[in-house]
Amino acid sequence: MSSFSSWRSNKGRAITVADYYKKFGSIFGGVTTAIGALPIISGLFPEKLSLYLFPPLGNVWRAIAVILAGLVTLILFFVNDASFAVSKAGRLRALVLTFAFALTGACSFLITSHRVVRAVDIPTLGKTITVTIGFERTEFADSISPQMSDWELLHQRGTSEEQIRKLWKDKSVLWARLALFTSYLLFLLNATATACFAVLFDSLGLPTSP
Amino acid sequence: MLTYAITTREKLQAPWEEKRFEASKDVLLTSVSGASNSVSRVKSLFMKMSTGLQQRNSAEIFFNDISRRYEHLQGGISNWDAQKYALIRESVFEAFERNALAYIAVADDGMLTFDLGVRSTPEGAHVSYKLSGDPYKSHPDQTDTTIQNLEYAIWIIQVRKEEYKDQEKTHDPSREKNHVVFFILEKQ
Repeated sequence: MSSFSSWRSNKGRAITVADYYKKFGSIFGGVTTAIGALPIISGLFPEKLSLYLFPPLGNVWRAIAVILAGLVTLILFFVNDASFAVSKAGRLRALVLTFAFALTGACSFLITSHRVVRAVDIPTLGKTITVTIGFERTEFADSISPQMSDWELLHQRGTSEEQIRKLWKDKSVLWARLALFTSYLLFLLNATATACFAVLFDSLGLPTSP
Repeated sequence: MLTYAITTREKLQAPWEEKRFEASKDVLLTSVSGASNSVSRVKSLFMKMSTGLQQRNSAEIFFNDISRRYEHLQGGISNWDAQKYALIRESVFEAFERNALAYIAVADDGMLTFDLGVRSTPEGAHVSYKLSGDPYKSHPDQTDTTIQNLEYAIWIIQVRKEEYKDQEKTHDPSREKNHVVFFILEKQ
């Protein structure tokens, strides 16, 4: 177990999984936890805001995202022995790269959300329902009115899964959801990784090479 | 409770049950008394958990309505004779089913569905309803009636009555708080 959970760095410094996770009590650790738990935290916010923290895909996808974010924190522990982890330039490169990927993910998530996520207001209940639609409408949807906006269609027919499958082609709904989830994961996992690297580098101490 | 009501009803519908009326009557009495006690237990639990006066008042009305039905049945069953066995049996199981459906309806209240009242003057018009793009679905009851568990969407309601002109109205539950549509029918 000790050989699995603690790796010796190039300069002989060893950290264990326990040491690493203890560091999650620090500011960087708090940020990592907050990012990794975004899919859960999103549920605490109003619907219109929460769709930017986690897309309206359901609880199974939410659980998958959290588990993957948790795995990232564990996987990153095992790079503590890599040469880049002890060099100043290597650390900077790791942070910049994961941050750039996170930014790319965030942008693609926003674009995909803009294209396939729709928020429908129900003023009488003071509620907003957010749903993920598809890229392509069905003939049935066109037969109602091809000029109708997505919001009008959902308002007319309702926001249930059954109605969404009736109004948008099955494959296009599936692809839309996959695109949304993939872009979200690109953001979430890389953002988690950036914060995680900060925790790891903090645990390892100052870099020993330039 | 609904499943229990259906299965027990099937057993008690057997032809020999009518001949064993007294025994069956006892079973029905015990069942009604058990169901009534169960409603009282749920009521007291609900009252403990309820947070506001309005919620408690609504619960009082809701549970009292169910309890009264059972009390009425208990009083009635003792006085009924063998010839009215089928009637007693149906009344008891109807009460069970109504009880179960009332619980289901309340439990489903968190869902985005609503009940739409359809009223007409004169009453007795045939009711159909649909979403745009769909064919009309016929409602089993005539006006005045309530269509239950409709999804939040724009519903198109049609009423038809002989010697009167057909009428159609839309109801948008997300804009109109009062979920009732009124029709004043005109002679043809």
